[in-house]
Amino acid sequence: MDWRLVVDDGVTASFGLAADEALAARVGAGASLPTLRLYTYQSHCALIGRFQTVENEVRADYCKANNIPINRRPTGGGAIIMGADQLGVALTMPGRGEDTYSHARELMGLFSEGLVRGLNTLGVEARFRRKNDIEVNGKKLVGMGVYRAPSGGLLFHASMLVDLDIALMLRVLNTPFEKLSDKEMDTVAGRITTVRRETESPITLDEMRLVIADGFGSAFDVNLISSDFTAEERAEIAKLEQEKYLREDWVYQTTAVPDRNGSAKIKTPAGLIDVRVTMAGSIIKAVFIGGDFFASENAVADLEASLRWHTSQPEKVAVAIEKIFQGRSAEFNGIQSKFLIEAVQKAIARARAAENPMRAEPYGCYVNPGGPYV
Amino acid sequence: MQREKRAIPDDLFYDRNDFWIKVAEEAVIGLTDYGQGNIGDILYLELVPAGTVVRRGERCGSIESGKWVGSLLAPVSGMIVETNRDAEADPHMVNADPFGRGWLYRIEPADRNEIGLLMDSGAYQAWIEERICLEEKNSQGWID
Repeated sequence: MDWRLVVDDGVTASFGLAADEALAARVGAGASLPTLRLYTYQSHCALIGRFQTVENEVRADYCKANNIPINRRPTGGGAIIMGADQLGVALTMPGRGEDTYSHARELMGLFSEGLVRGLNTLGVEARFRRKNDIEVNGKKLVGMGVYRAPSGGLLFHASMLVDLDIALMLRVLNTPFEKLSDKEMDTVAGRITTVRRETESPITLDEMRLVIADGFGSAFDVNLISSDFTAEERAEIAKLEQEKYLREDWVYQTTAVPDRNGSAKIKTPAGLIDVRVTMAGSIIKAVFIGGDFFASENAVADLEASLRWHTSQPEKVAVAIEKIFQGRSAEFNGIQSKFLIEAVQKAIARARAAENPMRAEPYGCYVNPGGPYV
Repeated sequence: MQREKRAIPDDLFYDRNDFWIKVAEEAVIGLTDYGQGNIGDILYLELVPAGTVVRRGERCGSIESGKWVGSLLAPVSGMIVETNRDAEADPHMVNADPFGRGWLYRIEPADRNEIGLLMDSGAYQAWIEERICLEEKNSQGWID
C-alpha cells in the first residue's frame, strides 16, 4: 500500500493544525490518501490540548510580548511548545467506521510503533507507555494524541523532542515557578529527555525524518511516496484556518470541567513525601511526587506517569502504585509504598474537596503541576 | 480479552455509533453502556448549544478520553432543545450512569422516518457481538 509523505518546515501554528484536521477529514471521506506528515513549526508557538484553557496553561502576556502564537490542537493532552527542534508527526488514516474507539486505540499502538522503531534505529531505547507517551527509561520523549473527524478519518498527533529549550518552555507555559533557577531547570531536565541527549549527537531534523519515515514504513508495511498538498487540499486548509484556527473563539474557549488541585505531605522514616495532583473531574490529569527522600528520578517519573490519566478511585490508585513498586522497589530506597499510597490518596481527596476548582498551578505536556520539579 | 456484560435496555433504539435514543415527542439521546466502556474514562464533553439544528450523522459535540478526542454524531436530524449541562460539568456521569444521569441531549426530530433506520435492542446486541469478534480477531494486545 502507498501512503503519502509530506514534509514541511516553519509552518505557522494555525496552518499546521488546520492542515492536520483538514487532511483527517479528507482522508476519512476518501478524498485524500493516507498521509504521514513530518513537519516543524516556526519557532516558537504554544499549543494547548483540545479541552484545555489558555489562561490556565500558557503565559499569554509573555507570548504576546515575544510574538509566540498560541493555538488549540484538535487532539487532547497537555500544553507544549513547538519550534524548529521539535518534530511534529501527523498521520491521517481512514477509520473503519464500525469500531471507532477500540480501533483507534489499536492503531495508536501501531502509530507509536512507527515512532519507536525509528528511534530504535538510532540506538534510543524508547518504549510506548500505553495511552499517551513514548519514554526512554521513564523520561518523556514524545507526547501523542488522537482525533477522530466526523468523516471517520483518524489523526494521530505526536510531538517529538529532538531538542528542547527548557528555559523557554518554562517561560511560555504557565508553571508555578516564581523564578527559574538552575534547580528548577535540572528538575525539569530529569523528567524529560530529547533525541539529541539520548544519542549524544547533533542529529538534524532531516535525519530524524528519515528514520521516523522508515519506522512508519516498516510498522505499517507501507511505501511512503514523497508528496505535497494538492491545490484542493491547500484551499480547504486555508478555509479551515480562517474559519477556525485563526479565530479567538476557538483558541480561547473554555471547558465546563474545572481542574482541581490537591496536595499532601507525609513524614516518613525515609523522608518527607510531597504529593500534588491535578484532576479533571474524577480523573487524575497529572501528579507530582517530590520531597526530601532519596529515590531514582526514573522510578519517580515512572510512578508519576503511571498515574497520569488514571482513575482516582483509591483502591485502583493503590494497585497502580504497588505495580510500579513491584518492579523497582529498590530504586525507592526505603520509601514504603504504603506511605506513597497514603499521600497520593490524601492529595486526591483534597482535590475533590477543593472549594475553588480553578487550578492555580497548571501543567504542560512535559510539565507536571505544582512545585519546583517537573 | 475479558468481556463485560453491557446493559442494553429494550425500550430504546440504537445506532451504529453507540448512541441510544429514547423516542417520545422529543427524543433523548445518550451514549450506550458499551459505547462508554469502549471510550473509557471520559474527561471532557462538549455539546453544541440548544437551538442548534443538526442533520443525522453530523457532529453535535466532542468528547475526550485520555488523549483521544472524537466527535459525537447525531443519530437523527432535528433541533437540539436541551443539553445535559450537569454531564458537561462532570462527564464521569456518562461512564457511571449512561442511561440515566449521563444522558447527553434532547432533540426535536425533524424526520420521524429516520427512527426506522435505528436498531432495536436485539439488533444492537448482535451488532456489538459482531464488533467484539472483530476486535478479538484484530487485537494485537493494544486494547485495554
